[in-house]
Amino acid sequence: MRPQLRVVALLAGVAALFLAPLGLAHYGHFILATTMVYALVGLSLNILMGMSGQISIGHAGFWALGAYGSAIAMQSFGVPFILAILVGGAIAGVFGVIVALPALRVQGHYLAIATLAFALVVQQVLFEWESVTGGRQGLSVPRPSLFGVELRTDLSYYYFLLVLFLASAWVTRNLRTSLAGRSLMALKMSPIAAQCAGISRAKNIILAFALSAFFTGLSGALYGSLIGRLSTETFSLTASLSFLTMAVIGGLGSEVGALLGAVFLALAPEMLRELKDAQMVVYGLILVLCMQFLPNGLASLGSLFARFRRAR
Amino acid sequence: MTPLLQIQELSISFAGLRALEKVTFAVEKQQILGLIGPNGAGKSTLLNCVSRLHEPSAGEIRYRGSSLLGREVHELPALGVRRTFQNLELFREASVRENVILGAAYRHRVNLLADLFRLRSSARSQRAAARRAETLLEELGLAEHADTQVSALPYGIQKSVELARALASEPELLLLDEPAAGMNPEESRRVGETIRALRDKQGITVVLVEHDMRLVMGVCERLVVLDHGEKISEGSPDRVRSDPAVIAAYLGEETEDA
Repeated sequence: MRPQLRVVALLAGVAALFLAPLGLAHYGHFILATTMVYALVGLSLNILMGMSGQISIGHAGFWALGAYGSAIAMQSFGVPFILAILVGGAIAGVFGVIVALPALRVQGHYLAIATLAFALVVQQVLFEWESVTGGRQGLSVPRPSLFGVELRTDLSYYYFLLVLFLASAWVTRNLRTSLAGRSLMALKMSPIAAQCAGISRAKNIILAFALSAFFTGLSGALYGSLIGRLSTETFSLTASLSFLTMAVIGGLGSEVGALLGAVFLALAPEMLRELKDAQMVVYGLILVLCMQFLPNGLASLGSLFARFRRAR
Repeated sequence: MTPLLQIQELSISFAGLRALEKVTFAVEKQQILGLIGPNGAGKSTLLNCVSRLHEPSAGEIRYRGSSLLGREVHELPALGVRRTFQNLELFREASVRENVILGAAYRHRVNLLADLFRLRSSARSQRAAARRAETLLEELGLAEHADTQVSALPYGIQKSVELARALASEPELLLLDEPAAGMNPEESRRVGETIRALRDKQGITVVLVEHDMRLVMGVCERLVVLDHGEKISEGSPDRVRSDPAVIAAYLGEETEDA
């Protein structure tokens, strides 16, 4: 795409996101807000998997840490919403560093299992630690409020989330084009060559996990305030796998991919509700088709279309 | 004056198989030293030890007088040690330019927050890295391929890209693992010219592992010969060429090959 065209497409996309809630009822606003929450996780997996090439099926763990961390900060310590979500992100980020430590030793399937174990432990601890997390009772989360103004409707909250997503997408993009992000991609392309070129594997993998965990934690914090009630069942293996599916279907190479994947994850259950038990089958089928025909995800549809047009 | 690189009694074995046995030699500053020997003699293993990819079981490696053994792979470029690989270790999905930029990215990196929020220092670091790469691409005649994805280029050019990437951080010691492998005599001659120019103009010390004897004899001032992990000869090319032990080792190999 030509640069000018790219700017026009970007502006049109952003305008569409701002106009999206028009004509939708309350439930539509809720779905839109959910999409933005998911899209932040999409960005975080873009950093971890797309850039550094590491895998995680434990992102539900970071999501939970962000959600509970932020909720407890607000409930028990009276931290204002805007700071609490950052606290949630920071707590998850610290755990990101801890999870990165096994990643320095193991890769592939073994790393996947290590991250999975991490998420299961987090879920179990949150469930058992009743005095702090409410255990099976769950934990109620106050509505989000900005500088004393409560974002009472999902519509107003959607706009807040949209701005936050756009800012985060900008940050992710900055990382991608910076020498830091490119060093991560170098490690993904060839760990040996990258290290021989002076790029520290340990430092950069830790960085990727920490950043990814931060954005997922932030998303979890925002999710808690959207739902209003936390229960540990939300942060199961299924959530981790959904995130992974979302990231792959959307495309790991771009911010647009993160958004498209989130749209898919938010809408698919609504579209497929009629199918009841067959839902997961269709879900899996879509994933397989996507990996077969769109290895770079929905985000590559545009360039695929352009190539098709040129070829004619 | 202490030599730039000292290999002292270096030994390593893999699963009980001795790959290097008490190898000792030194590389003087601004020398071009050839490391030769039949296949499986331990030449690449020795380079891997110096570049810290392999952990020797005994012995010492000193660079500018201090030990390299406590160092990690990624610390070497900052010390001035770079290498290329026999079978190419490139960022295959990236362009030629990006490969060379990544070769010195570690030097230009700024703090993470500047990168995340696109502060001026971040943009400046990207420009500086790109400028350095541009110069190198010109010098090594790679400018016309700058935007091509590396994996789409012929083998010989990929080798040049790897050299350019190694030179990006202005190394003091360059370890070249078979830079002329798979090249025709003309290309191989040009590799020789490049190596000599690196030493003459930039004062780079070179350790050259190579099978092309014409290249080795033409450019190296000193040779170390390995066979079955042991040093069997060392000296000037003329001396080594007439060393009966070397002749025996190579003739032995030729009959095996035939």
